[in-house]
Formats: sequence, C-alpha cells, structure tokens
Amino acid sequence: MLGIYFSLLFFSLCFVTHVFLHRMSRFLGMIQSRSIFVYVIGFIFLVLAVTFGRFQFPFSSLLVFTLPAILIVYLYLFTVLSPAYIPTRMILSHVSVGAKSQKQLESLFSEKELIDTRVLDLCRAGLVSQEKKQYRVTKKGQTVIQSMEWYRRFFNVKEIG
Amino acid sequence: MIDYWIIGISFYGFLVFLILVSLALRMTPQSQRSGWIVRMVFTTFFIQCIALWVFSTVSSTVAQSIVVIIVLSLIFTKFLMVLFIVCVYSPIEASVTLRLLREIGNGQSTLERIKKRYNREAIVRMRLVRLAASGDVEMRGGQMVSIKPVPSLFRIREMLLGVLFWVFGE
Repeated sequence: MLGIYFSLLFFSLCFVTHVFLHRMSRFLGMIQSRSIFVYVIGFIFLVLAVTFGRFQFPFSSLLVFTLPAILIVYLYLFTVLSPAYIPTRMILSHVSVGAKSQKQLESLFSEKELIDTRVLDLCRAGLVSQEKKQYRVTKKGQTVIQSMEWYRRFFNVKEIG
Repeated sequence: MIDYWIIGISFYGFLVFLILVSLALRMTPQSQRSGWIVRMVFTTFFIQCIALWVFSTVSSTVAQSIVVIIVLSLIFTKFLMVLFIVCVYSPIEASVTLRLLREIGNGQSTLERIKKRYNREAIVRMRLVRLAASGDVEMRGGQMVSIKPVPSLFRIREMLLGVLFWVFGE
C-alpha cells in the first residue's frame, strides 16, 4: 500500500504547487495555463519512482495520480481559466435565492458574453477561422464536429447546447 | 497479481457503466438523462460488488485481499465515471461553445445568423427544461423555484466548481 499512499501524497503536492503557480502567475501577469505542466513533470517522476521503486501496486499507484490529475486539468482549463461563464451555474445560484421567471433569468445574460465571447474562444483555439465578419470551421474544428456527431448518433442526442 | 485484479475490475466496472449508460441514453428522452446517469452510477456499483463477491469465491488471490481490491477498484471506477460525465457527457450535451462550433459548421457563418437559431432565450430555455427534469427547479405560478434538497448531478458539479474557484482564487 506504500505506493498508493506515496502517489496520493505526490498528487496533493502537485496540486498545491499548481495552485501556488496559478496564483503567482496571475500576480506576475504571466500565462496561467502553463501551471498545468506541474502534473506532467509529476507524472514522469512517478513513472520513474514506480519503475525503480518496487511498489506493491505499480499500476494502481499510477492511476491514483493520473485520474484526479486529468479531472483537475480539464476543469482548470475549461472552467477556471475560461472567460465565459457557465449558464446553468448562474441559473441555479439565482433560483436558489428566490423565485425567478424565465424572462428574469434571461436578463442575467448578455448575448455578447454568451455567444460572441465563445466564438472568440473557438477562434483562439484554432477550431474556427474568421475573415471579416464570416466564420469558417477549420480542419481541426471539423475533427471535433465529426467526433461530436458520432457521439450524437450513438447516444441518440437530438439537441446539443 | 493483486494489482492486475484491481485494474481489471476497475475497467470492467467502467465498461459495464458505459454499456448501461449507452442503453439508458438511447431509450430516455434527452431532458431526463442526468437522472439516469446517476441511477447508472449506483447500478454499476452493485454489479461490481456482485462480481467481486463471485471472484472472491473462485480466486484465492482475490479472497485474501478482498478489502484492498474492493476499495481501490471502486474508487478507480467512480473516477472513470466522473471523467466520462465531466469531460464527455456534459460538454457534448450542454456546452454552448460546442453548439456554436456545430452551428458554424452547419453554415451559420455570421454572428447574426447564429443568434437567429441559437440565442439567449434558447440557451436559458434548454437549461430550465433540463433542471426541471432533474428535479432541481420547478415552475410555480409562472416562476422558477429551487426545490431540490439533495445533491443532483448539476448541484454536485456546482459544488465542485465552487471549491475549485475558491482554491484558485478566481
């Protein structure tokens, strides 16, 4: 079980370092997303430790680190660092403090922030290209759409968004 | 040897979950899916426990380390399920950004044309339908009210994000 405890401790250490780097880079005005590389370095170190360290459960030790790291990196990149807010989160927080009509809830959002900011995000991610006021999906974007379509057909999803 | 059992049972549990989810999602109306996902998480837990009990009667290795195998494999399976729900299911079903990408891919090439098909009203309406189906909110006298005392998929995600935003100071 020592390997499992070591991985847990090591993940906690990486997470604390990640939070520290994020706060530091925000304070210094540097790119915050680079702080996730702490998990890559941590993973390489853990693989070396598992290879040479004679752990009792080597694969489980790696999973103890990898699974939460993937979850944290995903949530960090797509929610904590995203400039666009999450509509469901906003709706829930407003409805939980008092009754609201659909119109009142709609007034919480501006289309500029809901649509324009996200289209800009897509351009920055290289999934969409812009020429004057026209938008086109790039090859990378087509790949994402194709995988979405596959999922949509497989799980019988009629409406996305 | 025990390590292989842990990994094997974890991925077996996840595979069972994926099969159950794919069957449930194909047969359930889209608005009621979040409730079914939670049911499938619990169903998989029971199937996995039964499988472990069967394995422990057949294999002496499993029987000797049954507690370690149960605890670790259940934790790993739960994490794989959470990864599927957070990284695959939620974004594809409910992400505004991915919907916008699809709209642009379908030929809506300007912001004006996109907003005619997919706008603030549509985004709020779709979310209210989902939240009403999961039992988080209810329509009373033309107003939406919060009714859920127990955590649902949406509230668990909200709590998780709340903790993360607090930790990162955002």
